[in-house]
This record gives sequence, C-alpha cells and structure tokens, in this order.
Amino acid sequence: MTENIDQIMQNATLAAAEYTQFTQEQTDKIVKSVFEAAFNNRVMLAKMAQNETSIGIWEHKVLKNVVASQLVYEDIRNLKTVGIINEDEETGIVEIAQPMGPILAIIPVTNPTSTVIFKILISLKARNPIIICPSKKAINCCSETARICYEAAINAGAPQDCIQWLTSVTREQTQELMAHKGLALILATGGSGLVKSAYSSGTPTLGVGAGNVPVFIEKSADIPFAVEQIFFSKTFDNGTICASEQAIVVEKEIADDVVEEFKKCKAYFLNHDEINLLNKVAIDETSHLMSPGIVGRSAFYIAQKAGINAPEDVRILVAPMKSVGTEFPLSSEILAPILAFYVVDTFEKAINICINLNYHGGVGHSASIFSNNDEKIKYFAIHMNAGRICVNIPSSHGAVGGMFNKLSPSFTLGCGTGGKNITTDNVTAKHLINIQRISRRRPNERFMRFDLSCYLDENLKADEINELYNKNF
Amino acid sequence: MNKYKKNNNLLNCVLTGRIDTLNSSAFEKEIDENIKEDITSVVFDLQEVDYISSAFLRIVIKTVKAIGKDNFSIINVQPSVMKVFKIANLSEIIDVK
Repeated sequence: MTENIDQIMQNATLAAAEYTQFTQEQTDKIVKSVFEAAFNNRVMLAKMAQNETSIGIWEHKVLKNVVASQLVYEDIRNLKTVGIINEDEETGIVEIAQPMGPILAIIPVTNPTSTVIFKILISLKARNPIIICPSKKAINCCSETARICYEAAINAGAPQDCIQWLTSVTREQTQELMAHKGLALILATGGSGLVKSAYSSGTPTLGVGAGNVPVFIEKSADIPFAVEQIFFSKTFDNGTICASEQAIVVEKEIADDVVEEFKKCKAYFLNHDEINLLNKVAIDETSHLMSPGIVGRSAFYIAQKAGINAPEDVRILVAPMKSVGTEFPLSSEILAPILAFYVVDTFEKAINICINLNYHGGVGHSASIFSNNDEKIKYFAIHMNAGRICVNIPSSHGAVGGMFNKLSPSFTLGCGTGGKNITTDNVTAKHLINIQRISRRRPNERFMRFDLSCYLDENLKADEINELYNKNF
Repeated sequence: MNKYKKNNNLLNCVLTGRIDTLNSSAFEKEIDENIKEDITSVVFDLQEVDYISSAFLRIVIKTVKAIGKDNFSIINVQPSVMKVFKIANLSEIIDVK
C-alpha cells in the first residue's frame, strides 16, 4: 500500500464522502461481515502477533481478538449510528448521527491485532473510514488484520479505501498524517509520547493515559478468590494490558494469609538484593519508565535476565515494598508479571498507599479492590482518581469490559483529564459520531410572561427575583 | 441509462440513478469514448442521480485534469449529492451547482 500521505488522505476523504450516503442497514451489514472475518481469523492473527512481537502468550491473544471482534460486535450491534437516533416529543429535541470523517488509528505493540479489529469495527459502525498506523514492531500482523477486515468490508459493499494501513511508518509520516487538515480524529492508543504528539497535532484526539493500578485486598475479601483472580489477570498475556494489576495492598491482619495464597499460586517473593537486581532490568534509570525488553515477557524470563534464581514454574515476581515513588522503581507501571506488595497497619493507611500508587503515573486509569464491605468499596472508589474501579474482578478484563461486567468492551480506555484525556469512558462507536440536535420551540410560559426588566434592577437579589418569577402566574 | 449530447465542442452527460463502484466503471468507459479531441467543455448533469461513489468522484477528478477546471461543471445536483462533494472537498476545485 502506498505511503504517500496526501494520496492516503485523498482516498480516505473520498471514502468518507461516499460513506455518508449509507443507511443503517448497509452499515450494519459491513460491520457484521468484518466481525465474522476477524473472528474467524482470531487464532492465526494471534499467533502472528506473538511471533512478530515476541510479546505475550498467543492463546491469550486469541481471547483478546475474541473480545475485540465478538464482544465489541455484540456491544455495538444494535447501536443507532445513522440518521435519526433519538426523538423526544416532550423536549422537542431530535438527535441525528453524522459521521466524523477519516480516523487515524495508532496501534500499540502490546495488543496489536485486537486493537486493529476493535478500532476498525467501531469506526465503520459510525461510517468513518480508518487509517491504521501500527507500531513499528507489529507492522505485519496489523497489516494482515487490516487486509482481512478490508476484504470483508468490501465484500459487504463498503466504500473503496474505507480501511487503509501503513506498511512502513516513519515518525515524520505519522506526524504529517496526524496534522493533516483532512483528518477528523485520532484514536491514539500507545505510549505517552505518542499520545501527547497526537494531542499536539491540532486534530481532535481520543487518547489514553498510562496506568498504575493499585489493588486493595480489604480484610473482608475472600482471599483465595481474590488471589486467583489477580493471578488470572496479571499473568494474562504476560501482563500487557494497561489495566493489569501493578501493586497489591493488604492490611497486616490478613497479610500472612495473602502471602501464603500467593505462594500457593507460584508467586516468588523477592528479597532486598533481588529487588535491586530486578530494578535494573525492569525500569529505565533515566526515564523511570518500564524497560521495553521485559514488556510481556514471562516471570521466569525476566528473573533469569535479572540474575534471580527463581523456579522455572514461577508465575509472578512479587516485590515487598515500603513506599511509592521513583526511589522505589518497582512501584511504577510495568506491563509484565511483576507486582509490588505493601503490608499496612490500617484501612486508612491502605487507602493512602493506593492513592500514592494511583497518582504515581496512573491518574485517571483504573483501580481495583477485593472486598465484601460495600461502604469500604465506595470509600475506596471516591478516593481514587480512576475511570474504572474494578470490584472483585480481574482488573485487566474488568477494565477492558464486556467479560466480567457491563462496561463497553474497549481497547481505548479513557483516563479523564487526570490522564490528559477528554473522557473516562471506555471509548466505542458512540464516541465516533457527531450528534446534531433539532430543537423545536417549547415555550416556557412563565418566562414569557415574566417582566424581564427585573433583571436590569441591580438592587434585586437572586432570591427576590426568584420570588417574583414564581408569583408570575 | 446515461445520455450523452454533443453540441459543437460541448459534451453534456446526463446521468441517472445510482453511480456506485460497479456503475462507475461502465461510466468511465463511456466518458473515455465520448471525450474526443474536439471536445473542449464537459458538463455532468446529476438531476437524476441520488448516490455517487468514491469511484465516480475519482472520474470527476480525472476529467477535470483532462479538460481543465474552467471547462468542466456539474449541474442540477441533489442536496444529498451536493453534501458528498462538500465532504470530498471537491466543491472548491470544481464548479458544482
């Protein structure tokens, strides 16, 4: 496929123009066809992604592809995205959905094929053409995913060039595309530098923020259940989901039971020297960010790389810590099977550690609690700055949505203004339409009969005017 | 059924129905056959057209390039099709009425 930016944008613009004429029925037929093609190729694409990136576990990437195709499709299938989508006789407001136009989709190396499928489905559902811009390390698997989806879309009658993909990507080209005047929106999922670059381009952007998910195992929790759920989540695709657990916080009262359960599940608790060894390979000393070389690798691989003598069947490396911050490198986000571990005296101290973790690079993203005390769950939630508070569920799957809860399944998790995003929503098709509102006259009789000159009298206070207004009849 | 009327050096193309990707390919052939050396102006009359594809828009761009911007116009456009020209960003370079 050509990498001429102007040509790509012209193709996308023409596709956008044609797509505006499609009905809901025609659009839904395309989305169904793409879902089926992506779903039917879920295993091949997962293996391809794992082979190309060496990140994660292919069986888990299959499940990611299932979420991105089947669960996303089921979630958006009945959504109205064309023409009149809502009419309210009482308010006189009628809502009309319009497509946005060409969308640029930035694809991360950690979830490449699944993110491509997801972004294509939600864009096409909203009648927007999409340009896939993959991570340099995942170009082949992303291209193949896009090609399969495009073929299915065309077979279902979609406009030519409704899906395009870049097969060789330079930073300059990406920036040129992001700033192109014909581009309507950027769906930016990736590292903070890239997301910031998208926001700075002048094109509206739905981006994501970094996570640093604290998990509070509150003393009323079912400990074996909580630990089993955490292991399921943190080891999933070797921890590559940005909503995966990063640190465990427990009260002293139940700490021994939690540690015992962790050990049963094949966690390896690191001593002080081993933590120092792991710091060096897991976190870059200058940037204080995770080292790319350990992202999505197994716990044993990372232990070996660090020179730690962990057993071969180790599933998670656990680092007992005293505090949070750059002087404690493992308290930062690491997309690999590594967990920080905190034991505190009281509930309040546990919440404070969770707040510190949340604000240490993960503002607005996600937080997790295991508890059977509803008041404490609410207390925890209110004190976190997180778009998603996962309760008694694996946070990776819980935040992505659609599996353990009723959140919209998404591979673009908004982190609110704390994460420099415009929404805390799980981004989906409804975010990719412009809504027009017809507003018919609905007179407010009381206001019409009110002597508006009252507002001109500086001596009248709000409650006095209100009284006059209410005596109006 | 598209109709082509030649009046001296002017080619008037009266198009009908839905010009989707498939129809566009037939239309392109017809246009190529009708635009001969003696044709200096081309008009597309879209009075009876209710849908245009990106393939048709490409033919429009190609025709403008071949015949020159000032010698090409599109007339009698329905609002739904006018909007497509606007979104395609072509109304600024092509005379669309």
